[in-house]
Amino acid sequence: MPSFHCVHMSELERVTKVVVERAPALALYARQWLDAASAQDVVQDALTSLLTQHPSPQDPVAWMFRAVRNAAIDHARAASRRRRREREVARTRREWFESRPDSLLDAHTAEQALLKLPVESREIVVLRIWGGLGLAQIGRIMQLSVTTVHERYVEALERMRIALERPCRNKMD
Amino acid sequence: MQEQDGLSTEQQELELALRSVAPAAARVDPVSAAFAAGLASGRRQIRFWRATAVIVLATGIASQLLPGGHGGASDSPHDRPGSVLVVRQESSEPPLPEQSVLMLQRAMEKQGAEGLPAAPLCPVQTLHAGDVL
Repeated sequence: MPSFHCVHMSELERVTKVVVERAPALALYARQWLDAASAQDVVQDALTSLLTQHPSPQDPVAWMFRAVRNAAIDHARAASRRRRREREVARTRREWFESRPDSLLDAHTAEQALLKLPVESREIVVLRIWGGLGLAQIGRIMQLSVTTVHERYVEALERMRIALERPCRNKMD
Repeated sequence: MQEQDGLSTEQQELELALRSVAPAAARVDPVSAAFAAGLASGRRQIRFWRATAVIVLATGIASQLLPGGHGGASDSPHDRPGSVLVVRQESSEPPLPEQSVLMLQRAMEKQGAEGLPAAPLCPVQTLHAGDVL
């Protein structure tokens, strides 16, 4: 029979693996408020906090997104005007997405379409598309009802679809 | 499994297109996170045991200093927790003679000169002048 210690270690390994796999999505989520470097720091700190939780949360992925959200919002609130300017500079230097040949959308176009959304809708889209979370999980993270999350998600997708179609139409014209 | 309810075909296609775009790589160091977590956890345990030790010590000191802490004003050594009662066994040796230095010293300490035992003197004969001459 495995000892408690071994069970706990394997649980930690499992949780760490799950989080590391989601690290790009978590960093992307944190980037809704922070620059690339701060976003990574926030994710790293959230992982450290997760590993100190005993017992581990039932839904470690949702827990991580929630922890990243809280930390990123706190971090952004505490930032001074100077740091805000630095963030703007950093934002222009690093893209949110990687350009890959197999992508169906251009990375920069996707980022611009997302940026046009209100922050809350953008959060929902990031959590749903890249975080792979369900509407109920998103609702718990953002403290919204499932119905509200669903409505805003559909609305955000529609806005993005229109925004993405417009440049093509303009080019065709 | 993600819900697809309420999404038009175009919106579902957009979902697929968005999913094909990968977020920028993020460097998260699980080893350093685990190390930091262990360190934090260790610190917390040390703090817990320190606090426990301080509480136990303070409780011990308080119980010694406060006489009313034992539910009464009794000062009997039997009532004090942790006090040791030493019972001296009676010696099997015969008691010292009354005239020994030790016994005389004890008698002086207890009752003063009056406590000293009477000296065992030889009987004195009464002599008359006529007997001598």
